[in-house]
Amino acid sequence: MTEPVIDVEHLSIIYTVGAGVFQAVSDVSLKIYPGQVVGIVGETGCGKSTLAQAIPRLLPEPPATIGAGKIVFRGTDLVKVSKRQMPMIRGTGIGMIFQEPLNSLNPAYRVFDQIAESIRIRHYRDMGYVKTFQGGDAPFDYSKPAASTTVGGSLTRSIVPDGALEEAARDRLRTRSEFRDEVLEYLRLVRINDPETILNLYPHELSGGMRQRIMIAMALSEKPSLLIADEPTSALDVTIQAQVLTLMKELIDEVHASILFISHDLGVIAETADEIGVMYAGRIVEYGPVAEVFRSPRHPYTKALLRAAPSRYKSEGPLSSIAGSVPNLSRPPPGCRFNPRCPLVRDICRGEHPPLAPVDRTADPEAPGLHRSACYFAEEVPGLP
Amino acid sequence: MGRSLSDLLVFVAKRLVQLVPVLLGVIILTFVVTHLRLTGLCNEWYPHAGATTLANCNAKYGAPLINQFWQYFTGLLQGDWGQSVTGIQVYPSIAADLPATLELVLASLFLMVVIGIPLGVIAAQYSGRLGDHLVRILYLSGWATPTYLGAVIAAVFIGPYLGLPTSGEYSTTIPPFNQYTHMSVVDAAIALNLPYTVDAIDHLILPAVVLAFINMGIATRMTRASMLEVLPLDYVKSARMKGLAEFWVMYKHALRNALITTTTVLGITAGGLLAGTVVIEEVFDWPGIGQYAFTAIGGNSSTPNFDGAVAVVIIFAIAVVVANLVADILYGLLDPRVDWR
Amino acid sequence: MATVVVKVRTDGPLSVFWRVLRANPLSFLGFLMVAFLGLTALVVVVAPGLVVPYGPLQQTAARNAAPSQQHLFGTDNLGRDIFSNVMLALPLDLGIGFAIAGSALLIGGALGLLAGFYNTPGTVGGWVSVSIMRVTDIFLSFPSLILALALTRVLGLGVGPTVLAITITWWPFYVRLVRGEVLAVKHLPYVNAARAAGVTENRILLRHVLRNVLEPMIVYFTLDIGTVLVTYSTIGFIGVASKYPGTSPEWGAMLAFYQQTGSTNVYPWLVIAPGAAIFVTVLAFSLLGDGLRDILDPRTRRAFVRGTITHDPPPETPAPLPIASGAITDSNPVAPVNVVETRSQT
Repeated sequence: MTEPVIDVEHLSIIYTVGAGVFQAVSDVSLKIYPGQVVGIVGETGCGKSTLAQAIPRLLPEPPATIGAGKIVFRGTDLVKVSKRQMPMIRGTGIGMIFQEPLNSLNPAYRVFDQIAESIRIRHYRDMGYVKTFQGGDAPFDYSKPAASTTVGGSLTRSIVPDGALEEAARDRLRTRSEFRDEVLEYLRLVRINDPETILNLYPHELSGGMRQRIMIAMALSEKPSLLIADEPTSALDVTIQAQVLTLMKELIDEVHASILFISHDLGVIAETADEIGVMYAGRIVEYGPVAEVFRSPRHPYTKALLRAAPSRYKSEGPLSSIAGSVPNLSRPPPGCRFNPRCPLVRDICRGEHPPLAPVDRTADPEAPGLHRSACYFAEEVPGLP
Repeated sequence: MGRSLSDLLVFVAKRLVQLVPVLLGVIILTFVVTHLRLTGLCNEWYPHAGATTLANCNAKYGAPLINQFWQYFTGLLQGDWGQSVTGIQVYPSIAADLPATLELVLASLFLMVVIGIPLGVIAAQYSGRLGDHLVRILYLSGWATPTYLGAVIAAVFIGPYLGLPTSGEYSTTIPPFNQYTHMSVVDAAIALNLPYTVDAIDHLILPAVVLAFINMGIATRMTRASMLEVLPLDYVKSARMKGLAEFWVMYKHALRNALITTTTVLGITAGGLLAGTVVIEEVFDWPGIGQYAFTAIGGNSSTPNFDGAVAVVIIFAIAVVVANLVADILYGLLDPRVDWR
Repeated sequence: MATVVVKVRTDGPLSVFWRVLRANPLSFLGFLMVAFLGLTALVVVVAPGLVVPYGPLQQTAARNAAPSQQHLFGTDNLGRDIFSNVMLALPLDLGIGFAIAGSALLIGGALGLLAGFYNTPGTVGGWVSVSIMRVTDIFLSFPSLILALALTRVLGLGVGPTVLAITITWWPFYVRLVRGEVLAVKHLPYVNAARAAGVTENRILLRHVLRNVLEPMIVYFTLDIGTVLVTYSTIGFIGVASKYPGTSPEWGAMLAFYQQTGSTNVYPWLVIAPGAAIFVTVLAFSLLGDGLRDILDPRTRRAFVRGTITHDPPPETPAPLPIASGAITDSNPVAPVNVVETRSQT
């Protein structure tokens, strides 16, 4: 059985802020296997972005604290790694693309410099000039270039064709112009025609869709095994959104990286993901293969969510919405957090929070690819209107 | 993409042209403000003078304001900036004293940038926690210390305690080499005279540090605020994701953008530094225009030098205007979004 | 249709106060200090006998005495009690600070409101606005201290003329501050909504714009009191304001006098006492003002975020505005939040 690229176990994240202590993420477990695209859906404020940014430990640690849990990446528990050592791990296997293209590219530097920076860092690591993390119980030797690891899959296509660099150049620090070819290749990878023309441009001189592609190129240039996409299309208008999504789907086939795709848009997730997790108030309430979850949701929240999306088949009647509002995460309701708004609520729902259990009771709980739901009454959900 | 070299030159030229009316305004305003109520002051200035001196004074300052201004302005342009009560020409005195003040101000600016800005970065990194509070106490203390207080405490208590000199530019009055720039450290360095260079630096330390400490607050506070605005942005996170060490994330990515807004306070800072030199140079016996201004204005009950005072006010204002211009240009250079055309 | 009941949790003033204190301990300290100084000044004016043991010129037997129980800050060479002099100067210095900052606020604020609000080009208001800003810009080129010093030469020595001189150099800062704020607020959506509803421009100015402007103005004013004090006492140090020793002591004048005439390395309290008084007072106002500024600045308001931390709708503040054309030297406003940058000690 293959190892997951990333194994999140019972992760809890709390924010301590003047107004209180907020349980942004509670007891979330997630496994992403090589080549898989996992989508996380949820409303604003459900914790999905917090989860996404917590994995590479990007959250500012004073207000945010990791309360419990493990994030195992290549055999190392990232939660236990100190802040000081994290830079050595980042950039060796996890890439991230963000929502707002204007803010995710540094406005003060040109396109070439920004992509070349990550290539250069990788190059220094390959040459041994920069320390990389040698984890405590890591079976992997990070001092080797990421492309040589077999588990987790990485870019199988060689970006810089063999022979493009002279033999001698491979063993010494490359110069700026030698990075140029590689940068151009990554730009072509994200379907930018004539990449030479944009090399010397600044981010504010480019369109939103173009910037998003450059951000994807920048993330890919680190040769990641896991790409985390935090609402990458939410700030784009619909036509550009479609282009970027098409690009991502093609890349999924080409580069064999795993993707963790965060979005609030059900349609986007439906198009791109293999498995989907539905988050509500900091917990994953349903998880499973995309087609199954959409066709037969087993959690009242998922069902309501799917029903609330306006459909082109219903042109009359009021839009359906979910009664009530998202709970205040500093004082979440006891038990299942959806219980104040749930049509199936019973007393037991206010007790222990229901575990994320397989819908098919007979299946082996540890098996991958199962459809799971965190509801005591998952069987009754199909009967809901 | 209006950011080529020729665009830059046009940008600078446009600013310089905009400078002229402001300079004119400065001269006019100074003149008006200082010449408003002059009759009667002649008696105050020259209490023991003879009748002719008084008559001359009254004639000069009793004439209609426009005439006076025209005479003054034409004189300014020709290099005649008036003279002191004892007949010493103002312009040569100021020209001779200017480099020393320039040296002092540049040294303070250097300290402010090298110490003040990293402090702002630290305060932003530890926002709300102990580091932030410590930095805040530090720069607010500097702010709350009047220049004369800081200067006096440094000169009377700290200097002797640390063994640093508290008076003059060098230990001897006339250094044994040619003074080309009249900036003590530069001259000594050019002359390759090591002991004197060290001596000059020693003399520069206390006044520059006091001046920098007092005026550091603005730069630190502005850097902190800018950094707080920049740090949550996604590109900082992108930089971290590349595996950059936190130091480079802070300085190469975050500060590079935060500095853009920090340059806007350069003009205010210049004003503060200049005003501070008046007292600092007096206390530390530093031979610059600050000291000249101090005596011209009548500090320590010296005879006021009216023409000199007016000239100094104009010079300081010009310096502030120029500093603002430099800040404007710097801003345009640092922020790639500014179109120079 | 179901009625939605929304329960709003309002915090009592005490818990808000407590939260402010915890989040911003330094500014709370400033607040306490300012309150203490104000109360003390009040006592000195109303009931001097309680806190001022000796008269300002009263010569006692103890000459050049170090601080002791009878003379808390020591005495000078003629036995004058330093503590009494420092105390007597407190209400004067505080009063001067408030007077100057207050007058500058009123004058500059009014001009700024006018210049910002009625600035459509081509109208009388527009012409007035432009001229106000030109004059303000020129004034702003001078370090305040220098201009004030020059003015004292003209206006004469003494407390009154000096106060007038500083006020004349001080109001331009408020003009720029207020104008910037007004410009930023003038076309906010809700102000435009008021216009669409038929509210007259004047009423908009008074009700909506003024309210928004008040916040940064208060911050600036608080910080300004300290700066004014520093400037005033610096002028006093240069020797052209109050006469010391005299019936009406002033900290800067005291310090100047003792620095020149006293042997301060032997009797350091002569200089340290008035110096510390100035330092503490200005620090108090600075702590308070700086803390207030953090509270009001949306960027640094983190400690007061309530509700779930959502991640991340696009930030409301746009990326820093590029100053397109000479905004520093011109009269264009810098992004409003930055305008609450005070001047340095000039």
